[in-house]
Amino acid sequence: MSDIEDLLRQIQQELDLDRETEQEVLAEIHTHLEESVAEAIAAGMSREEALTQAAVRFGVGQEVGQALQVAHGGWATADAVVAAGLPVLLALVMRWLVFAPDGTAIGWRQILVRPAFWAVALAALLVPLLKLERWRYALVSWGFFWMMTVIFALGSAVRW
Amino acid sequence: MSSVQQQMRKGTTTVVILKLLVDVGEPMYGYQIIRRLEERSGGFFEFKEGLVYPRLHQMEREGLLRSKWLGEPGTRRRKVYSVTEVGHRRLEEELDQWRSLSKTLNQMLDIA
Repeated sequence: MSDIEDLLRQIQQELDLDRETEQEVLAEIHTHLEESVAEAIAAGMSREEALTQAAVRFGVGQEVGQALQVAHGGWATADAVVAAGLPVLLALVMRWLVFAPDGTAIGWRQILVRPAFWAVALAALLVPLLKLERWRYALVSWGFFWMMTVIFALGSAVRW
Repeated sequence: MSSVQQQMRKGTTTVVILKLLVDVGEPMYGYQIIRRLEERSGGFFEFKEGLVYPRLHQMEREGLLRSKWLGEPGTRRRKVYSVTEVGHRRLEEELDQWRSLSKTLNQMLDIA
C-alpha cells in the first residue's frame, strides 16, 4: 500500500486543519483509493499495477492537499474568529446588564429575574453550538464567555 | 485534455455534480460521483479524481450539499453527499443560465 500511504502523506503535509477535520478528509480519500484499487484488481490488474493506477488517477498529492486546504482553511479561520470574538462580545453585554449606568452593581437576585440576563446566557450557550461546526470551539467559546464575564464583573466591582 | 475542455470543466463541475445527485435521487459517495461523471461525459471530461474532493467540500461549506458518514467504525466507512434545498435552487439557476447561454451561442455560431 506504499503508493496510497505516500499519497496520503503528501496530502497531509499540505493540510493545516484541526485534527478532526484532517482525519475525516484523509479517511474519505483513503476509502476512495481503496475502492479504486479493488476495482482495478477486479478488472484483472495485479495489486502493484492497481496501486500505481489508483495513485496516478487520483492526481498529485501536493496539488490535492493544497486545494483541500483552500476549501477548508478559510472557514476554519472564520470559525476561530467567531469562537474568539463572540464570547467577548457577549461578556461585554453581560457586564452592561450587571452594572447600572452609574457604575453600581445590581444584586444577583435582581439580575436573575431579568429576562435579558437569561437571553444573553442562553445566546452564549446556543449561538456557539449553532454557529460553530466544531463542538470544541463551542465549548471553549462558552467557557471563555463565563471567564470574561467573571473578570469584567470582578474588575468593575473592585473599582466600584 | 485541451484548454477549452479544461476551462469548461472548471466552470461546470459544480453544476454537473448537483445535476448528477439530483438525477440519481439518492446520496452518493465521492468515488461513485467521480465514476458516474466520467460515464456521463463519455470521456470528454477527464476528472483528476483528487480534485473533485476539494470541490465537494467547498460545495458542502456553501450549503449546496450535506454529507454524512455511513458504515460502522472498523469497517469501510463512506461519506455520502446529497443536495440541499439551497443546492436545488442553485441548480435551477445554473441550468437556466446554461440554457440561455447555449441558445445564444448556437445562434451566434450558426449551429443547429
